[in-house]
Amino acid sequence: MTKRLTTGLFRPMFGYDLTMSTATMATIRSFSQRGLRSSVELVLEGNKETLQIRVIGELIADTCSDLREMVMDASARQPKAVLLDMSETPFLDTSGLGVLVGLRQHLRHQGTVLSLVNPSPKVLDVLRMTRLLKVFGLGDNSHYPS
Amino acid sequence: MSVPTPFPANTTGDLQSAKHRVVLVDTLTPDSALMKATLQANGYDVLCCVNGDDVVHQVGRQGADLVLLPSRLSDNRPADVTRELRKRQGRGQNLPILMLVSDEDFAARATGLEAGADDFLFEPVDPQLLSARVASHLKIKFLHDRLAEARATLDRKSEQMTRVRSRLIPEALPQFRNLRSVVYFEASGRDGSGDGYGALALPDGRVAYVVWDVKGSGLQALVHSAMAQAVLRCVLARGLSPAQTLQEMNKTLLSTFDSEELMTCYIAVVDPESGTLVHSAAGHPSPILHLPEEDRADLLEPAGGPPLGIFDDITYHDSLSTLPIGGRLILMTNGILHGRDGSGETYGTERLISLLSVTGDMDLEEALDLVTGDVSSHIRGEVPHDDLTLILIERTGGASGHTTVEA
Repeated sequence: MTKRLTTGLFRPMFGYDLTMSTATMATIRSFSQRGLRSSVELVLEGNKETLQIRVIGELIADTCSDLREMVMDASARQPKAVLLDMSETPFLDTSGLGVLVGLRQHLRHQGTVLSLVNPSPKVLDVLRMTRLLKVFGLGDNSHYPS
Repeated sequence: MSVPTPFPANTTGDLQSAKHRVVLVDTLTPDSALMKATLQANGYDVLCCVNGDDVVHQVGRQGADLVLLPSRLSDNRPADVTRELRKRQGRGQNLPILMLVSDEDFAARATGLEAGADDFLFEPVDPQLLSARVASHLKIKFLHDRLAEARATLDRKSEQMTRVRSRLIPEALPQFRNLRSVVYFEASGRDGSGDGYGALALPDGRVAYVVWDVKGSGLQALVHSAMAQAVLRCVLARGLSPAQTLQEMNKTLLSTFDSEELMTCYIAVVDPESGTLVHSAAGHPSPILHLPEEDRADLLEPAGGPPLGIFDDITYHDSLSTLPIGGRLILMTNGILHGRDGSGETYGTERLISLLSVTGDMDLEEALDLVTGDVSSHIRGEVPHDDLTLILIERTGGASGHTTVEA
């Protein structure tokens, strides 16, 4: 479904760059068949303790498998926290939500916390509606929606 | 789909072991005899015909796996015979037809191929080349036939899925005393669907309305939907509240869902006499309460919790509200609220509420048409990402008074 433009970059680079502090470790770009609107770019940054992934683009059925792969690979290094920066994620669908929930459970088993950072308004809306804000470390669910 | 014509001699089975029937026109020449002998030596069942009409007749009667057609026939043009074979052979569209042409006969090659022949061989035919060419075309036919069978199987399965879905997702909801409901459902571009809904009368006379959305599509979503429906019916019929029902469903789904699967669900139980509404939501869009008499439409925000099938330590809670006579309860799935236009803008709760608030003097059907029309025009030109479900419920009678009854 998705086409990887820069595959191969990720795996070899990861091992080397992990020791560097906050350098960009890898970038994965995917384009779905729907065209540019449904593309996602993942930028992995961070150090041994905390990994941060910028999710640039929509996290939907066509694009979410790359995020799963990236986080699964990164989790093998047992970081304490994985932060997903979703400020540049304009949309999140149920499949994307499923991947987030699945990853959270997976990381929890090994003692890693998965948190979402700076969610865009629409991502926030989806999380609020599904009452998953607290689960991803985004405060309480007392009001919905404004 | 296909015309009921005689099947080709060998439609199924193993390419290697099957005895293939090759049709040949016996021109009573040494060349003809050599071809026949070569094909027989290769283990083919050779069927000799006298002319073009005979070829068409024999293929229609006995079936064939491959036809060798000379460029000159005593009775008619090879191109006509080719067309006739293609026409008569329903699924034998894949029947390989090989023209035998002389070295200098350019015209026959082109007209033969144009008429639907697959390939040609030069006369006098080289036995080795003949064997190789025939084997190669039989292999292609074998693969074509397998593909056609696989496709027919897929078509059958897809039909089955459509039938299952139409049972899971009824075109209309059952109607109950003092309550009227209308429903709109549109499947997304994807195969199968994740939305589902239903209404059923409880033993105590109250009515339960349920709407859900299972992540994913296709067969898996259908199976999960069917399972959800079965659990819902059982649990609700046992007299459990919406929140208790969600909790039971959560337990059931947890044991079958994988880590990325989830389901959102909203359950409303309405007392048609008093209008008392008990409801709860699991990660599902909140319903809208539209009160035409007061000219108001507001989001109801029932208690509840996260989607089903994720967490094992969740307690869901019920909320209590009232559906007055003339009041309308609007249920929906995510597909409506997050339906997006070309620029990615979502439809949204606010637009839905403001549109609903002008439907006060419309009947339920008109209101439903107006809203779904507006959603459709919003996402126009785009295949819906997600199924669209919208349900309007109106309380048409019963005891009046807006007092909330203690549960």
